[in-house]
Amino acid sequence: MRSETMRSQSMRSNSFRKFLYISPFMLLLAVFAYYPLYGWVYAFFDYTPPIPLSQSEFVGFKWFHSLVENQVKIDQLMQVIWNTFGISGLGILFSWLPMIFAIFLTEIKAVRFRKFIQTVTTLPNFISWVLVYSLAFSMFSSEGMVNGFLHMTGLTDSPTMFLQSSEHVWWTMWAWATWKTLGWSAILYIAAIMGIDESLYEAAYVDGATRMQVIRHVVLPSMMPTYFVLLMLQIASFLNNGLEQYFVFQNAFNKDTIQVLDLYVYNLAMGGGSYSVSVAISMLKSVISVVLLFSVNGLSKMLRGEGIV
Amino acid sequence: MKTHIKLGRKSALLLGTTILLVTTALSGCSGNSNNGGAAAGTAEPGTPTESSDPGTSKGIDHSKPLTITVFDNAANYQGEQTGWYGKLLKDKFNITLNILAPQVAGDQLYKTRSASGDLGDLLIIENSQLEELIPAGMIMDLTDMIKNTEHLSQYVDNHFKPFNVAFEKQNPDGKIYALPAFTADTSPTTFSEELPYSSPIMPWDYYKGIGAPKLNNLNDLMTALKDMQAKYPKTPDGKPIVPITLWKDWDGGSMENVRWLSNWYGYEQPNGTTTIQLNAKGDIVPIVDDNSMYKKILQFYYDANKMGLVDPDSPSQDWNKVSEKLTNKQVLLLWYSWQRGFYNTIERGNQGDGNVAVPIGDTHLIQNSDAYFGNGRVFAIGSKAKEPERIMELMDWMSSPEGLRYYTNGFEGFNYEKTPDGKFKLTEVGQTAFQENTPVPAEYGGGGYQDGQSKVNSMIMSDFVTDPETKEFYNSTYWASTIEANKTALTTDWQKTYDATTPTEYYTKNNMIDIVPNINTSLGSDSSDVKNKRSQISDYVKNTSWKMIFAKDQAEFDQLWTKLKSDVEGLGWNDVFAVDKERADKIVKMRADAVANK
Repeated sequence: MRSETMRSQSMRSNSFRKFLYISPFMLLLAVFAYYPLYGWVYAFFDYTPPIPLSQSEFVGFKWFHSLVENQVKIDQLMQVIWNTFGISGLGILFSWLPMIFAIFLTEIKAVRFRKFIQTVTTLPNFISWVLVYSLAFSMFSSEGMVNGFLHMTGLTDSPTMFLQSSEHVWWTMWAWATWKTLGWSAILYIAAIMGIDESLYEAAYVDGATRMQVIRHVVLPSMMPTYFVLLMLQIASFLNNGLEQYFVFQNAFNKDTIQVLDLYVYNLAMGGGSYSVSVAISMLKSVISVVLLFSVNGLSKMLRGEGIV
Repeated sequence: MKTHIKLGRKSALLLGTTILLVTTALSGCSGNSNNGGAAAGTAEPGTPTESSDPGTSKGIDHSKPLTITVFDNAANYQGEQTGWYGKLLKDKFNITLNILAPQVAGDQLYKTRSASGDLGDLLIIENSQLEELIPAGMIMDLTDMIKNTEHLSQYVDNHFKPFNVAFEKQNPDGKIYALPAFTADTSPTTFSEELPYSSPIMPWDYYKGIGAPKLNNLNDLMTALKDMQAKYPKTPDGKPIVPITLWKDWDGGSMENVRWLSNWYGYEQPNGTTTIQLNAKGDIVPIVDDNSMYKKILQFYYDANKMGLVDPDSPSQDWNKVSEKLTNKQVLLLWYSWQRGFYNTIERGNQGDGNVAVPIGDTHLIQNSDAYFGNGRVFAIGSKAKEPERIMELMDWMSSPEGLRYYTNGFEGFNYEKTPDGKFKLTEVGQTAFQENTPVPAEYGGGGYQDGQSKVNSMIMSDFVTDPETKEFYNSTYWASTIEANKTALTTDWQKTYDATTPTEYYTKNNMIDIVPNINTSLGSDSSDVKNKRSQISDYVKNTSWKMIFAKDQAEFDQLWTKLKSDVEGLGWNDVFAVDKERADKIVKMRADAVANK
């Protein structure tokens, strides 16, 4: 009897202790993920600083409605969503690149050369987009290196406006992003490759597999779980292309094709002071993101028998 | 065992508390802290000094150092005021200025700081912002304080009172909340400057180099630019010369480079509006009208670009790059009157080299008169400012002869000297101190002269106020001594050619200019709905304008224009236009009154 209570008491104190262990993280989550949600109320008010929210008028769904009140605005929003899907879609389409890159990188036997390549490809990840843009500017502007070269060799007589054309913007944006993050994203895959059981390789070689066959039948299948988890996370953030990259590259000529949701929200809020409208859009964004995550997760459960949520 | 658990719990609690503390600090749950990213503009920590008799300029205690946070729309510089002007304020008032500049940090600075309830101590803001801030209780009432000032009080009846009373909605009691910036002391209908604010300006030697052809219209201008470009493709040190260069930094409601060329043909876009242009007769034209001057100027730029006259850097460069080009004389067509200052010097003028006005036959300029009621910005004190009487004292000094001389001309004995007849004259150093950033003697604080100038970049009373001692304007361009020194080969040659002493005189004589009374008053601030629509429309208009200038062919130009017209409709054009039209009507009416009262 007595020992019974003792045990349950110690269990209780034990579980309370465990709760204390995770409480700091729950607190972090509460402060940084849930507390900001209260900001959503701004979407339902007619808020313009310096008039505080308490004195602003409640307008219900007015701002949501204003997003789609006529064809021009619908077109504009659709164009923005289309850009978001296009640029994110390209990213997902080529999401296998870092994995393949990692595989081939680990195949390099010369250690020094391998380290060198890895450093060079990881480095751009630590350069801010602002600096990347100034690099792009010094290379591709009308007086830049590339135009200088083309002019010198006589291929063109007037400068080509690389940065100002609205053509291929999605591709150039994807290319810049890939250049910047390829090496960084490969790190996880390299770790996964390092974790593959040696005996699998040995068995494959005993069976007379070539290098390519080893990659196909041993390395790739072992990396699939990692790949799918990362893919899922990427799809969940399908609408969050980020802002900095597009912000620095945007100009009057490419705005129609470069403006993704995040940038659109920023331009609305900071450019025009339409806080309430931009909050309304971000709310829609959150809802769509959650829907996407669950549908991909469901799909993954159906196809592979495991999900992440 | 028990103690062990206790310890674990204790440390876990401690950890939890620490994290809680850190997170609250991180997430910035601050009731009323100064979230400006800059040091809070307060005096020494302690209780604010409640002055029992506000505004007596005597008996102000300067022993405590005071840092004033200046929220300044006019500033191009953010940070502490250093250099000689900084030293001056420190020595005189024990005051340090900490300048916040939306032009540097972006317009969101206004939104975020005003949302937090404290914009700053000294505010230099637009009229429309003032109209938002008074009802929000963020502006201090200066009525009593200003009565006791030595210099500002002189201007209350003629300038400050009428300006403040006009804000009927926010200010029914006719208090004085703000002092209009750049107020001139001439009259509401005179124009004192020698060159209109926007007019065609070109390098005189190049223009003469192609035979100084008579320019009757914009086509002649383009031909002349083409010829100059062919004859002078590069500067002496090998930099490419571009006929026309454009930049986007200051694009507001529309494309700024288009807006100011519209002035050549009599149409201005009044401050506070974005969708209309207005002429001296009072005709109000929407900028998206097929016959608007805005469209004609777009067409001009498009044609110029087709002829290869527009700088290919235009879409991507910023103003700094442009000013560099102006300093190197790489640009053939200028329009702002102040753009001459980047290259022109007396020394170059003696060699007949410099940028001058080159009138075009069919232009008819529109020009606002001197800013008798200010220029659209105001000086105000934030309602939470500590020691407002010290800020008032500083503002009063800024409008005193001493303060104005320092602001506009620097130091007596260094930048200028007294002549025997009691007037002022620029010294050798003073003529180029700004352009060359001449080192200032150590006793004044050292550093470069230009670096150390007032970064506030605005004043209450402008340099078109008469200095009681010399009976001349503070603006050194209009001193008899400067005009004498400026009788260079360049000036005299120009005067002979055009048979006039100044461009303003030439335009007036030939009936090529309309001087309209400068109206600076309450035009109301946008409702959030209109604000939202205005910003989307402006964005669209600006982007399309740039695209049109660089269009592949006339068909694309026309197609972009057609799409612009129909799309802005959907973005709420009519609502914004209605607001702007009401404002323009008010301006037209007040202009008529001002002329009638002359």
